[in-house]
Amino acid sequence: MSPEMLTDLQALMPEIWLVAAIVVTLTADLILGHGRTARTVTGVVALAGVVGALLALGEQDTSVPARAFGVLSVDGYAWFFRALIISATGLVILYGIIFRGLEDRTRNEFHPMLLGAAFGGCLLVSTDNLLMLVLGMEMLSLPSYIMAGWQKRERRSAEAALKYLVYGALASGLMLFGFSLLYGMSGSLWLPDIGLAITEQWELGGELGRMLVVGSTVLVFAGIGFKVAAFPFHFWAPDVYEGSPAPVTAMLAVASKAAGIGLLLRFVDGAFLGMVVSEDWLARLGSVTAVIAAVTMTYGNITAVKQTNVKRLLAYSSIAHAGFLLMGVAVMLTATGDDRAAVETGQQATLMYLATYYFGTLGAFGCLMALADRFGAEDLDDYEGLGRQAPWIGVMFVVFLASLTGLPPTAGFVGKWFVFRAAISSGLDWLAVVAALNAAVALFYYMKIPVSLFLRGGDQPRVADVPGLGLVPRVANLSILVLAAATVWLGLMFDDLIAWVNASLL
Amino acid sequence: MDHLLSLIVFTPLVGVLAVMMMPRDAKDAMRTVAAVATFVPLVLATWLWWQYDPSGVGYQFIEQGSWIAALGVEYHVGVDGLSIPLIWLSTLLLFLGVFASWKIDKGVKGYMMLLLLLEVGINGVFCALDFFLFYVFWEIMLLPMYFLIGVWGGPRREYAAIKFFLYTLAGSVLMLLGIVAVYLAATDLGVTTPFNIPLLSELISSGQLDGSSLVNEGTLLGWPFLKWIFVFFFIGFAIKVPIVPFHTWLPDAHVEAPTPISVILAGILLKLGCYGILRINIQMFPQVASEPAIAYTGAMLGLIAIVYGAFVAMAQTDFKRLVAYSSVSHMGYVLLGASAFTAAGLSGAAMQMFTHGTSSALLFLVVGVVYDRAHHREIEGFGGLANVAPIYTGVTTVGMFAALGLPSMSGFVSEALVIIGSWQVYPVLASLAVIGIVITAAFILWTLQRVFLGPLNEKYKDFPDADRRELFTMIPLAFLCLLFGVAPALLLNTIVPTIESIRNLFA
Amino acid sequence: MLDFMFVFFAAIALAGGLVMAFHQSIVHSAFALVAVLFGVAGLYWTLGADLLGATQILLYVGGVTILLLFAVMLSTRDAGRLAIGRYILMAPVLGLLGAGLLRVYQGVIAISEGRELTLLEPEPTSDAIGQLFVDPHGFLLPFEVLSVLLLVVLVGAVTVARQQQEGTPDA
Repeated sequence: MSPEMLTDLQALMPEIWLVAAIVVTLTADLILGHGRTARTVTGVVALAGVVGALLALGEQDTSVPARAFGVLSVDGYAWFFRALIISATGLVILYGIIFRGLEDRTRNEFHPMLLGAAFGGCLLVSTDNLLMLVLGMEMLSLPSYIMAGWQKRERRSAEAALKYLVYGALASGLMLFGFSLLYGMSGSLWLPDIGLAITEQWELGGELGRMLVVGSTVLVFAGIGFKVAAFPFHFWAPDVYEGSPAPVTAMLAVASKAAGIGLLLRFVDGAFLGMVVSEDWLARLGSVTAVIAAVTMTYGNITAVKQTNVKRLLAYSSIAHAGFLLMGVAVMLTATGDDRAAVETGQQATLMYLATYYFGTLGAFGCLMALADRFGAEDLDDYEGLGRQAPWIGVMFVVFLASLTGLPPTAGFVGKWFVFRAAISSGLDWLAVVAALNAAVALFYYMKIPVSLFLRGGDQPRVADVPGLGLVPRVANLSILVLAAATVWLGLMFDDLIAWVNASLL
Repeated sequence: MDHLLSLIVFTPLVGVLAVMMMPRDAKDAMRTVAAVATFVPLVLATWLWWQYDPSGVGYQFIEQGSWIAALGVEYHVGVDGLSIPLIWLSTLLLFLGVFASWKIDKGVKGYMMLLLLLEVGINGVFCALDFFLFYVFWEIMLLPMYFLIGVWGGPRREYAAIKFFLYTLAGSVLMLLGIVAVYLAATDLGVTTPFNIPLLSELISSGQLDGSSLVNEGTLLGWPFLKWIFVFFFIGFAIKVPIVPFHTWLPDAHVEAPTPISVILAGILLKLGCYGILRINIQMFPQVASEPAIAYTGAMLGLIAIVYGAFVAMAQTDFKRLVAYSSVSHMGYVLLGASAFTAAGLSGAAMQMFTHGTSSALLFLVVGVVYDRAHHREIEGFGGLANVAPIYTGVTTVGMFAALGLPSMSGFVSEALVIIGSWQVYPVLASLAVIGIVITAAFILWTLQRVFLGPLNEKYKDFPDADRRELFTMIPLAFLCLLFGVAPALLLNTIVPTIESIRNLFA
Repeated sequence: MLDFMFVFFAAIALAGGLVMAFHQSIVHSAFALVAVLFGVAGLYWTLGADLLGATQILLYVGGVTILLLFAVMLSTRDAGRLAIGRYILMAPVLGLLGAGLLRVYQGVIAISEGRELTLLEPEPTSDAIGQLFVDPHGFLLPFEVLSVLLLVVLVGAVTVARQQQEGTPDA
């Protein structure tokens, strides 16, 4: 093996760990059957794969961006997103083990699906090659479709899988079509080449060239819009989020969304920001994105107000958060000319927001699952009085919701701060005002959960479905506690987070 | 004592951790810990006031250090004559609040932790000299207050709690936008600590920072940049004060909150809004604040609050609601006095914050005592309580006289200063404000007569007088009402030099 | 000849597409999709992309459509009554996209009209692609990733399908 190949493989070590875990879990399942041992072994192997991947990631030095296999760009940006995706997957695996909705018979096969999706997400965010983009997208999506329908006896789960599949396929199709137009224009699969071709078409291609650029952009944006559930491509999200098993929803809301955002930023940066001359068009694209961001967050928040199912409520809120994430993209596109600093402000805002959103959402889903695990509670009505019985989970739930609302001293506030700052600094003041009002609306429905947990319910304690806590729920609760501590810590001490994000900019 | 302010702010946090570690059933132990954790800041705050040098210029007891280097956020605290009395008052009320909460038996652990956390936020806001720190402390108060009302409150507590939360958050996100904008404008000037409140005040009041780097020629939609920011801050603080028309959360929150929380809400939380208006709106944006149209609007809003609050209070049949509306009225004086920009007006405003903090807190404690015994608060439902509870009636009378501004009571001094101060600038408004004083006197005396005087309501012939614990919470406040009425100089000596330095901004 | 083949395969694809879109039964639609994919594979062949055509059959006809059928089977009970409801709201969005696409096609046609199209005799591409598949800087990685993708998806599909089988007797 050539030394070059070896360095290429080293760059891929985290992914190799994930794939190895897939193979081993499948083999173990094959050999050991569906007994208790098999469940333990597959669970441990899956977690070991994630831990190995994280360790391998930790050893990577991305201060000098490297390329691997000609198609991967192993830079700080990829590192940031891979760290988010892989660690989120680890938590989801833990949640999956305690989640009751999964039948014991099929629990073992669940891990390869999760690991496969994580593998796809990692590829998606580290490549600037259209072919790998498509592959990564499919590697992320196909296992997700299957996982969405995992609780097949649940009508809603089957429906979720079907809807997700149909709309996901549509999204992939649109995006692929856009890619094919881009390839046609540039004759290259490489994003920087495509950026040049776009500029060329826009400047020299006359009206038709411009049409091609607009058409392909709209198609690609539509495809990515589906992935991150941005208005008006969000229709699948609530049903899929509600119908899917809760761990899968957490995966979709965090890892999948992170991968979609990672793809979007890299695409915008690679394909459009080279267009130094065509500012007017970029500005127009920027204002369209800003409007989409505003509508997305408003729609998500207003619809969330009416929800009574906690999972569905978090699903709508996750649509709203997509709007906040898009604010940074709008800022990137609004930045005029070669003002790299403004572009970086936008990117930084989105990355900061994503990092803080990661803690809040994963934690909230963890609490949701812990309550479902112990009390079988799913609706706001079921939550009544649980806060007094499970005070730790209740308090942590409040911390995560405060973070999602953006109250200091939690991480969510830091994320909000950065998107507000980016919006105001690039002249999108109206967007900042809309976002600020949205924060107040978000508070209203997020607080419904603490209202049920602490304010309502009689003094009669609810009987826990599961009398004692087993080892895995304990570990899961511990990991939620770590998330909660991190949420508060990052709300107070975020110097390191800023440094990390700054090192991860494209 | 280099870290006096930090000690005052964070000692209750130690109490939070201590209570967290204690078993759920050790109720008395937790109450004692909470009492200690609030007593220490009170002692320290007394020491702080003692050590404070009123003749000194600017902030004292400053602690400053880098916190979030990447943004230029600092841990920066300090106090001046405006904040010191308020810090002392808040530590006192929280200490008394713990004793007033002694009988609360449900979820003592959570209650005490939230109460102590609330104190961290309150004192933090009064000390903070860094915008970021200020905002963090400001928001830290929200959740504890929400739960204290929502879990331990009356029958409509859920509605009251969420209303309080939503109003306050809506205000504070506007404030956040203002902070972001000022931060950006300051970074564009090359300031390395763009959250430093004293520095920003200097830059803005000297005209160096006008936002022209952010928006074209410093104007946005026809308004100067600074005016927008001023309005954002003003709305944020006005909701907290609350100033009519943002006041509707207040009666609900007060009525539903448990007694000690009403005491803290009326005594301290409302002052945070006033403090913000004086510290940020007036001290940081003197040019905008003193624009005739804006100043007149402020005075007008103050007058409306005074008269409207008094009239609505008069119409109430619920004792607690009456006191709540009287707070709306009394807070109007702060705004009226501050909008005059005269020495008397501003000093009166600052003093009114303190005196109202003592008298309204006392009145809420009084209402609490009645409610504990009779389980209702209908003013018409009592009568002649003075016959069976003379000591209690005596204390109440002191609080009520202080609230209506009887000479020799603290309320008289501050209200008189406000009226005199605003008379020089807005004679018409000031004379109209006198109507408010008359109505206040009327409804307070009327209440006193209906509840305490006249023939004894037979239902309450066994009404016990205030017990020792209740007296322990009420007597200090009654004493303060008298003390600062007889010797207002004790308070004004601290306040006035700072007020003078604020006035210099307009000279 | 080439023209005839093109028309033939295009007709298959188009007819399949119409059936797929308008047939009442979702299962029939899924089978019509097979015809579409087959037609498109034929088009690839006529353009000389033989390997692509083969892959199309292998992957899409053999793999993805089967997965799709599994998904359909998941919801056989009310496959006839797909809840359209508020999804009808998607119609304008998709319509807009479609209209935009037509415009883009117009552009593509107009561009190609102005140019001399040199029609090359289609040559088989398998050799070149085969080389690329094992070239570390060609498509080696995508190729390997594909195998993982297929593995995971197949296992998933089988698991979901098996649940169906095992689930029915209990009910």
